[in-house]
Amino acid sequence: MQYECHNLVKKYHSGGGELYALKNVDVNFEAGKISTILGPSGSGKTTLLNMVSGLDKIDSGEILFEGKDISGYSESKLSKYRRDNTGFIFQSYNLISTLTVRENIELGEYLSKNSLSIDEILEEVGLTEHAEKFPHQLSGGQQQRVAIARVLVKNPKVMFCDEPTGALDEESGRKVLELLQNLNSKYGTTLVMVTHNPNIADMSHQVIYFKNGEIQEIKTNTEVMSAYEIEWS
Amino acid sequence: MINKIVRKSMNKKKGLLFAIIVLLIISAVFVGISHFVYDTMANNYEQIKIDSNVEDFRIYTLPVDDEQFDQIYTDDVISGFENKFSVKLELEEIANYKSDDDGERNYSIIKYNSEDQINTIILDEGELPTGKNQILIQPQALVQAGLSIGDSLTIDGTDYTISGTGYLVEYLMSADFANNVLYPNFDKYMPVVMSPSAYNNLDVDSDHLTFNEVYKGKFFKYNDKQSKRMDIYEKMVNYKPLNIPVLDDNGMPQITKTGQLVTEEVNRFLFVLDRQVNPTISSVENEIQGSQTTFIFLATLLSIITIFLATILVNSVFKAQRREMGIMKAEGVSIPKLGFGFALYMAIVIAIGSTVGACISTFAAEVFRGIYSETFMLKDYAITSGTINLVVNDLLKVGIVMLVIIYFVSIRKNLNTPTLHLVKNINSEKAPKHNIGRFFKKLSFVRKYQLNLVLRNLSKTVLLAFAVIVSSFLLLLGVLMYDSVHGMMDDMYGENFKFSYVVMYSENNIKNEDEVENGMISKSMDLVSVPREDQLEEPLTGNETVNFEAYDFDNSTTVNLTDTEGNKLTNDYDGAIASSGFMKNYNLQIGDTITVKNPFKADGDEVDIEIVAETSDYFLPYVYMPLDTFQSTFNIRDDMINGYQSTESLTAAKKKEILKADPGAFVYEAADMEEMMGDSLRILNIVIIVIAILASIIAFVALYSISSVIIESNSKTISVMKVLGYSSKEVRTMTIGIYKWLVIIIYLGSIPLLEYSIQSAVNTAMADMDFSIPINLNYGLSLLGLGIILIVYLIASNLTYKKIEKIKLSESLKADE
Repeated sequence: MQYECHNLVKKYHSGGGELYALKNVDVNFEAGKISTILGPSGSGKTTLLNMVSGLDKIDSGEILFEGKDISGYSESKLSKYRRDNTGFIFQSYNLISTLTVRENIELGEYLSKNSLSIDEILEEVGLTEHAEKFPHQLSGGQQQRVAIARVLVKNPKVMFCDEPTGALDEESGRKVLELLQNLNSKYGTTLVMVTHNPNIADMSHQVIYFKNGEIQEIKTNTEVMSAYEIEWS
Repeated sequence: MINKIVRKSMNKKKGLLFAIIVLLIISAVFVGISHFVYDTMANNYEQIKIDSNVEDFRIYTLPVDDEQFDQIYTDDVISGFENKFSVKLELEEIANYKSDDDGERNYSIIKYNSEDQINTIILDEGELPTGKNQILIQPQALVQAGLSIGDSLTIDGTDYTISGTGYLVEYLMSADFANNVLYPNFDKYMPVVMSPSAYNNLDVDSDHLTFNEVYKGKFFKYNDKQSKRMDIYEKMVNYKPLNIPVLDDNGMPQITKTGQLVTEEVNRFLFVLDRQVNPTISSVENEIQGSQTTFIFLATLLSIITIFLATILVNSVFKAQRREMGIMKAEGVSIPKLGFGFALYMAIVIAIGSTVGACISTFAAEVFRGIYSETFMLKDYAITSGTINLVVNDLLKVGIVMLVIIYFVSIRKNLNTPTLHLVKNINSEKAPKHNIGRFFKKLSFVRKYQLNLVLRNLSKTVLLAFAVIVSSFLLLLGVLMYDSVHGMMDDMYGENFKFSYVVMYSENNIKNEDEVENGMISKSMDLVSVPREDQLEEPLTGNETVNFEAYDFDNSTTVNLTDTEGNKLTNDYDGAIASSGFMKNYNLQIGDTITVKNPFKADGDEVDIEIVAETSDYFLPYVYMPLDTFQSTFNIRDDMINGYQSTESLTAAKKKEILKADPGAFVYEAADMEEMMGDSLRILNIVIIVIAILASIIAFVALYSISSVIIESNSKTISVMKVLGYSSKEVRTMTIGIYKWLVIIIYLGSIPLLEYSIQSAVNTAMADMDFSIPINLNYGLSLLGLGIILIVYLIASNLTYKKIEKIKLSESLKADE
């Protein structure tokens, strides 16, 4: 397993009491596979993503990445972990508005010793002709593809996607999902996606159902549908 | 309720609020200092204007006879006055004074040194008088009268026993010069020291006691304010050439009663202020006005920078409160109420900063005034009478302006933003129109990103650059002040040397050979003609004087004459070296010959002097000659010198020997001069330290504030970078790292800029006065300044680094969803 998570606990202080975002969560993510985390708002799915991707720290438990426990990593070690292994796709793209498409991708390229060619990536995401444009000059789907390109250029082992199609219409959403699926198959990149859309689960190898900070069910799909085959809701 | 919410939300930005308050304090201090200096200069200016009012005058008499006139005439009791106050004193004859000359003389009065021991007695031999009929007299008088200590002396019909001999030190004469105090012939005057009881028995209304007559004019009544100078004048009003100090019960001299014993009628001089316009008055006026304007401009600039910096910070605080504003708006709080709440809060912040700053500046002014009132003549000036009021008043206005700016630029704009945008904190900033990156494609990604960030934050960067320029200028100014003054000191007293000189003061038509014979050759000579006379802006009037200095400085650096290119001029030339000021005044060129009237000859024959070199000297227009050339040119005896200067301390015997050989000569020792300069140097050092601290504070506040604002306003970008895998150090390098180079470039760039601007300013200010000060900037010390500013940068940078580290990725990215 690429990730082995044991007894993950994350709690927040709220008012006078404590609110558990994650309660003794045990989950694994296999390398080169697509995993989808489903659940209602506040169920803890994004928290899990943040913990595993190294954006936040758990209160207890362990997260083994390729056999190494990253839960106790210092801030600098976590930076290196993120730099060398992961990429993160947000629902709101989080592109840097003052940089062009190419410069946004350069931001990712600069970090990697084994970066992919920017031009190749631009072609891959279908934005070659938009390379010198600023984010505000692009549609939502295009912006999300820039965000993916920014991550992809690092050639990461894992891509974490938090509601990657949440702000997109169906057509754009499907395009983004297709892109992600292609990357998964072409580069063998592990994908861990958080989504409200239960239909996206059909294109995943593993589906994790979350509720109240706990895993309700983990389902493994034997057959994975393409992004254009799934229903859209 | 609103204020509670606002305060609560504002508390999140304590660091920025603190920075704002610090900025306001600094600003207030600048405003306070500008008031302080302005008031001081204004008072001085007012005083100088009154001093230079040629209609005002004062006349007072000195009871001396004809012989003593010559003594007075050549004595330095009255030197220095002209230079200090830029006025001329003209001697006029009175009815019963008869002299061979025409009576038109210019005199000066010696500068009073507060450190001099005055109004006291230096006991020579015997004891101070304590008994009813005891007196102390001068040793010369004892010898002249053929008496000994213990003998009796009859004064005004009363017999006194001579208890001892000593010197009386006058108001205008320091103890060091007691030997030279102007005392008349002892057969006519009998300066004595009496015991209180003896003095009380003396009939002070007797005809034999003649007091000076003093005619007061408006000249000395400037503003009815007391000052050190005024004190001197008041003493002059009561000045008695010969004191009779009264001893108190402990034998200490008192000056409650003074007078003189006169044994016969004397002639009197009248000292009358010249009513002619003094050409240097306008220069002084211009200089002071120029300094005032420069300082006010500088203080205003600094104040504006700090105030705008504070305004930008305030704006960033409000920007950070957009979500809170939105929530309150969504809850139904009206815009005016919200605006009032935020404005009120900022008004409190501004009031705190301003008041603390006003108090600090006033306190500093008080301390400065208290410590240096004597040195800078600040006593009783209206410096502090209104400083705090003025500062508070000014800052109140500034505060109102700030609030108005903040209200319209930030509060109003933000509050009028649609509520949803505020709540969701949607960035309303305009998207970039131009791809700046294409202009520096060849740069590395980091440099490209840094430049991009700088250009996107141009206003903040410009502000930061301003602050760094100010800091650099202040630091370098400190270095410059230190180096220039110490450099000048080193030039003057850097080596052991012996040298003799002849100083020619500005006087006209001196023809008295006796003075030359007496070795008193403090003269000036009339400039009769110069080449290209027809090209002068002002034609020669016949009253031009040339100040000559003749040195025997083969082995000395006292007179460190350099040519206009900075090469040292040696003392083996045949002719004269003229200062640039002199050359410029009379349109002279090297090789020209000027003609002057020989003051040492009764017939005033004319002498031609060739100018062989030009020097950028920092003294008034002077012409320098080797001593032997000078003596041969003017046909003066080779032992005619009036000064001796040594870097080494001289023994009393050595001094006496010099004085014996030439009673008119002065002996200067470097150590004395350095001691005399000690206070000034100490003050200078304190000023430099204060400047360095001030510069460091400005640099720190600017660097930290701007960096913090940049970090906070780019927190989302920074979060994205960190998510991508950038470490906090890399983020710091990419965001504010470029400011290190900005600081270095600005500082280094400031060195030639400051040198040039200060030298230009000095030259301009001194142009009319033909006075220039060479500006030295020690590059080693300048690097120390660079070190200071870099340390400040590192501290600010590290504090900013903590901010970068504290950014919570999940929170900051989640917030924008």
